[in-house]
Amino acid sequence: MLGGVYGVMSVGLTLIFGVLRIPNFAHGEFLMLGMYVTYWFVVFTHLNPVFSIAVSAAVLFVLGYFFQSQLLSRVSRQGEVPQIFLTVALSIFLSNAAEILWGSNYRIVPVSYTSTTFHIGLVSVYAPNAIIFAFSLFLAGLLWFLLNKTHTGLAIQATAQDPEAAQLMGTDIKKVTAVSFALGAALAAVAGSLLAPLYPIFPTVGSYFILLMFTIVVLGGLGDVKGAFVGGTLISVVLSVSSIFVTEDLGFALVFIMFILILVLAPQGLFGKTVK
Amino acid sequence: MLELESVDAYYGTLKVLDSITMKVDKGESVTILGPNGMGKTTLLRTIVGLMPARSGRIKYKGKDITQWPAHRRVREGISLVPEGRRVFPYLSVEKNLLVAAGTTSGGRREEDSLETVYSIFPDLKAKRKDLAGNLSGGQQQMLALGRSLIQSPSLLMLDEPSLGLAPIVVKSVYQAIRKIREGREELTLVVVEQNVRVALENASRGYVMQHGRVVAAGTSEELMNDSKLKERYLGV
Ligand SMILES: Nc1ncnc2c1ncn2[C@@H]1O[C@H](COP(=O)(O)OP(=O)(O)O)[C@@H](O)[C@H]1O
Ligand SMILES: [Mg+2]
Repeated sequence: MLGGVYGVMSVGLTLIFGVLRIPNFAHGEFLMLGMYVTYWFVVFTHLNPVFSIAVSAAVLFVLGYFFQSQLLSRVSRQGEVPQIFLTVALSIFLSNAAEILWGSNYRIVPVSYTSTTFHIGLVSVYAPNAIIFAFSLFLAGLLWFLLNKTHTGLAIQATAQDPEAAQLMGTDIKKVTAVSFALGAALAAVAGSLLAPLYPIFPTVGSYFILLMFTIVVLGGLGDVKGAFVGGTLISVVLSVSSIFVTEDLGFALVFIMFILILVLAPQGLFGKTVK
Repeated sequence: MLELESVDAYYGTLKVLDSITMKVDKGESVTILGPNGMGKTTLLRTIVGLMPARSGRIKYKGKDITQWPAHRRVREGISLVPEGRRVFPYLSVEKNLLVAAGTTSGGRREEDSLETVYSIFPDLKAKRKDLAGNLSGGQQQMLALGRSLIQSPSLLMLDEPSLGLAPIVVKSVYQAIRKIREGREELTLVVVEQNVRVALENASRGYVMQHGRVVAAGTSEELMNDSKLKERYLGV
């Protein structure tokens, strides 16, 4: 059931990689910020956490846009490496800032989704997971629409495939790059908001998710949007199956082994692209 | 329409354009000739803004555009069909065209502009759902032309449109170019070609480039009949 949200949290990473050609090491922290946004939103408004999604998406979109257009773009002429270091720096900065602002205590979102379980035939479904799943599907559909049916989306794809040719089509690739990064950050935040009621929230929670994200993204193929959702689903299956037989920690070890194996055996991801 | 005044351009410290001065009038069809590595591609890239001019000035429709970013020049009507076509391989034919159409300032309806392109390139219509990366070389060249056409440019620049294509396909590419010119008397054309004969047949004037400089210029007839020039610079 969590496959969808694993897809949502990873698809931003793959989108950013597709356009900027860099792994965003701050992606886990974007998710962490999304979780905190939801936490404070629920504390102050007592509303259902799902309503915080719009807030965390907006906050992280603005932060992502600002970070790319004001900082990353300044070093982008020197190639990828300085940009990668900047995302690492941002990751450290954000988790430390969170600790200074909100302390290192674990926080739990005070009202959660109703923790009822309902039954569909023989399958029993935990209500929060069903809500998360539905939202993830909705977001996947929304993202598909955005990327394929709007001019901005087509410009993002064109820029990812050939930035110079995209400029020849009249695309302002500086703007498209900033929007792509912002969108990626917003998607991570949305995933954080969806997961917030299920996990304890603390400043370094991002590092817990970043390994999952990278594994999902290499599994689906770097830069492959559909692949991120397929990868997310596969990883969630691996985790839930392994949690039946072994402990969750071992499940994570298994994910890490998969990560290495994919990098060695199928660096293009499991699903090759269709152009010969 | 287009004016270059002593334009210099560099790759790092390598000077690739050396004080290029040229003038192209509205509605003209001009070709740029010269062997490989002489700076023809760089010249077109500098005009469209993919490369900065380190010194000199570029004027278009009377405006100094030397500092404009590429996308702004494109939106103002300068279009380049780049060397090697550069279609977006993982986008469908139609989406390739829509990316280009989305940025036209004319505000013509998308459907109309798509139909205009399809009427000149019926092959593209048949393949419109196919990924551009799966098209043949000739079809990709048509798509690259179609992308530029849909921008309704005032200045259309083509970089070696016949490169790597079979002779019969080259013929149909030039047929398409002539079709594009029909009914568009205002359209200005700048074509880079290695194939001297084809190029001069389809242009009224030409420039010859050698090591980043313009070494000869004249009408197509003059260039065609200048045997010394052909021997020395063009190797034919
Ligand atoms: N990306 C590049 N980096 C460095 N030098 C380049 C690059 N592209 C072209 N050059 C050099 O610039 C010169 C002109 O190249 P180009 O404009 O492509 O010539 P042409 O189109 O006439 O064949 C050549 O000497 C080439 O080696
Ligand atoms: Mg060339």
